[in-house]
Amino acid sequence: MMKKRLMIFLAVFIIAIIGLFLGQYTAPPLGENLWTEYHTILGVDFWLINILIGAMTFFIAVMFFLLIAILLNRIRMERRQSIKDELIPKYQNLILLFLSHQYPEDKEYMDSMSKLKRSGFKKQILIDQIVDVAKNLKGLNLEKIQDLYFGLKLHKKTYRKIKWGQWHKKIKGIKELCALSIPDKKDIILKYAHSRNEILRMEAQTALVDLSRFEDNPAPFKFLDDLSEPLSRWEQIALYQVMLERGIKPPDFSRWIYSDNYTIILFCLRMIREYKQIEHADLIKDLAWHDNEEVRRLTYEVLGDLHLVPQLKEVRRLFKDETIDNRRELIRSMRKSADPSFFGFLKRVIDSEDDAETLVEAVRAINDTEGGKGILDKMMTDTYKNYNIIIKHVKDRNLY
Amino acid sequence: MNFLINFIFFFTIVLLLLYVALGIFSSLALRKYTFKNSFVNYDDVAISPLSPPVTIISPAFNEEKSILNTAKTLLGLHYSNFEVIIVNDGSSDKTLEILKESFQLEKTNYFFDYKIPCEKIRGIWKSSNPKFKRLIVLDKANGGSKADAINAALNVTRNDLVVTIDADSIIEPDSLSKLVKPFLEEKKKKVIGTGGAIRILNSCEVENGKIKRVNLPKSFLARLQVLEYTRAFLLGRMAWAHLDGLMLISGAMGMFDKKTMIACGGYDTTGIGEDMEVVLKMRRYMANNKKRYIVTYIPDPLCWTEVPEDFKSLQTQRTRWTMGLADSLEKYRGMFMNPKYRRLGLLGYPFWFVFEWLAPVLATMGILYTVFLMAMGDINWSFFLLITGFIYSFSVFLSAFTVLFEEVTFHKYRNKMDVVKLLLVSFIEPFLYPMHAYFAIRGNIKYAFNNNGWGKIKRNGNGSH
Repeated sequence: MMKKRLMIFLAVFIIAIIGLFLGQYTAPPLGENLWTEYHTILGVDFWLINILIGAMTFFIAVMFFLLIAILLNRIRMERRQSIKDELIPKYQNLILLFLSHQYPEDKEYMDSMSKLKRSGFKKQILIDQIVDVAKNLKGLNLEKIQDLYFGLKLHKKTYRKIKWGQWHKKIKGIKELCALSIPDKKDIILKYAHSRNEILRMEAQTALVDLSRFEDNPAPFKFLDDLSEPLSRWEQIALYQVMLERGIKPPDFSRWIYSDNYTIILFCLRMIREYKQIEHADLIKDLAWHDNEEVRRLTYEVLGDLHLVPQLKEVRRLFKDETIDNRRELIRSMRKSADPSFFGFLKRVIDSEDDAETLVEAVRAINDTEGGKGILDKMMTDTYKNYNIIIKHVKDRNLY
Repeated sequence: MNFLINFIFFFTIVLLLLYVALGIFSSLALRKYTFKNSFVNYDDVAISPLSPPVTIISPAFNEEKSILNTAKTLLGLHYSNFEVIIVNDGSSDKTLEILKESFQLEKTNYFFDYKIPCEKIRGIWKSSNPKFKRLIVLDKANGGSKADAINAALNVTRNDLVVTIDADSIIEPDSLSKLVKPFLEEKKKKVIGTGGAIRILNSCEVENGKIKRVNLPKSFLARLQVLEYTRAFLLGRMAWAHLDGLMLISGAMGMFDKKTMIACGGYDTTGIGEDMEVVLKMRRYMANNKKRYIVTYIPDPLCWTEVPEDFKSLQTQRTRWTMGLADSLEKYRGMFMNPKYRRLGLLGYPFWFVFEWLAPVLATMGILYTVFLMAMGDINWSFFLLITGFIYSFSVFLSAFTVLFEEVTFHKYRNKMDVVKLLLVSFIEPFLYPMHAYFAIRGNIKYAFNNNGWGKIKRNGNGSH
């Protein structure tokens, strides 16, 4: 039917082509058609021909400009690369000499460095090298490289970027300070932590967590108190990663689990799991009654990961009202907690559920709990429902 | 008569203006993307325990020569939480045997539901060696299409994010982290799919399943496609993603939300162009159910694929693409100018319908008419040369822009001469438009006459392994 329609469409086109050929002999003489008529654009008369010539000239001109731009860009890139290739070993060598105190006169050293960093581009290469080295340093060596950074007045360039640069330059500046462990400009960074630019906001938040190392009473996640924008999972990964890399002491994340912002709750639940903060298990459990489906699902997951059996027992009554995904997660958590008291519940789930994944999870939960294998053997002979295919799946050693 | 000539003329002008608009949108989007991702450490997401699990689905039909390399490359991707499902789609060669032997596979008692249609799954194989625990080999009866093979894998996987790839493509090691990023960073809408840029493998140096050096293909036809792919992936898709009108995620590599895929019924196994069909189907499902969603695109070259180097293979491929386009446009014609589908219905679909599907037909009419006038001696030569010059200069101008985009963003062709050669190709390319128009007409005719044969594309193995 559809294809017939397309055939008709194509047939109309073929007829139109034939019509064009035939129409050629009934058309007005050439030279009296559209191409040579006057056209009025914004009250000005134009010959279409002139417009075409103008446009063509424009295209050709821009095209040549682009060709030149491409070639110049290539030359510029190659020149920059050769400067980099030349400068990086020199900078690295001088930085290492500085760190190993082999440079006799500081002034002489600074002068020789200054000669190498005259242009903004060269300065940036030097900052990048210092940042690269600083990432792997601690203690005295870190302080020494900070001295070098300040001594060469490179901080001015970084501060300028943070304060005046475009958003991506601001981020670059913030990253430089973090890598060098310099807790300056926190007031500006705090402002950026609530920026409308989500990329800048995320980087500023990560920087605040990173730089909290230098606070007497660190409060790395203070910005969560009044964060109204969603905290994406990507941001959550970045925040967690900086905590791991910098050894940041985690705060009590249960403080924010009643936030109005559900993404903050998700983050806190994840952190509670990663840092095993089980002191407030009942507060976590209460989130199983949260309006947001994702929050409830993560709550079940966290209760399972932290083996909070009493709390799981309480929330299992929500099973029947839950979505299919959340049901699966609840069963999965029971498997993780491996508590024999769930056997009866799991058996009822197996008898009543039809969803393949939920069934597999429930059988797995029994199998992974002490004494469960015997129950499964008995179920294999059950006549009420044929469980064999699922039990065989769960017992397959290659599958888990 | 004049009306028709005017129509074709203004149609061309609108098309050119739209290309300019797309160029502007994509340059804005590319600029933002480049700045935004210049700070990203993809290692963070690759190793994080908070990253979501991902399943890679690689359909394989008679791939005995390449399957081992494909499996090894996929298993070596840099991401902590993923599984690979290779679907042996009823191969008649030794694809399954090679996999069984190389990875010490054993048949499992895997339990699953047929949630979406596919041919019978004969068995699911897993390795007894923990080293290959990420690998699942799914053996099924041949369904005659990639769509059927992917549906089978969708029935089996437990993960919510799936990546579909072509078995003969080379995947960049960090591609999973890059593809997963839009799913993790979107806050207000559900991401249902993400596509990545596909680049051309011909003449590139490949070692252990990884690109060692990017070279411009030696064959002219392949070079032509480099320009075409770069234009499509850097200019077109970037702009359409920015405008929320993306209709296509390349079958060579794309990441999807499995639940949405299953909810909308999976791939249509009887369809022709599964890449476009599935995106339109998912988008229609989300819009019909009033769910807020987005289809994203990342311009990073994530996947390298070999393109045809001879006329016949190119013809087969392009004919197939046109058939797929016609099939998808016809199936989802209800989206045309339908405000329910927002920008997709009002912009994306009409653009594809008018300027991708209809344009070659109109162009062919124009070419035939010109030839007719020439034959009759009635042609206005000065005007003909002027309009040809106009179109030609615009075409080269657009290609030069594309090369510039590539230069300032990903800069994959390091050899200066490669860029010069690419620019030279852009001067020749417009003369080959009739060839593309011919492929498109051929595809439409084949589609109309119900000839859905896939044909065989000759692969030259020009990526030196």
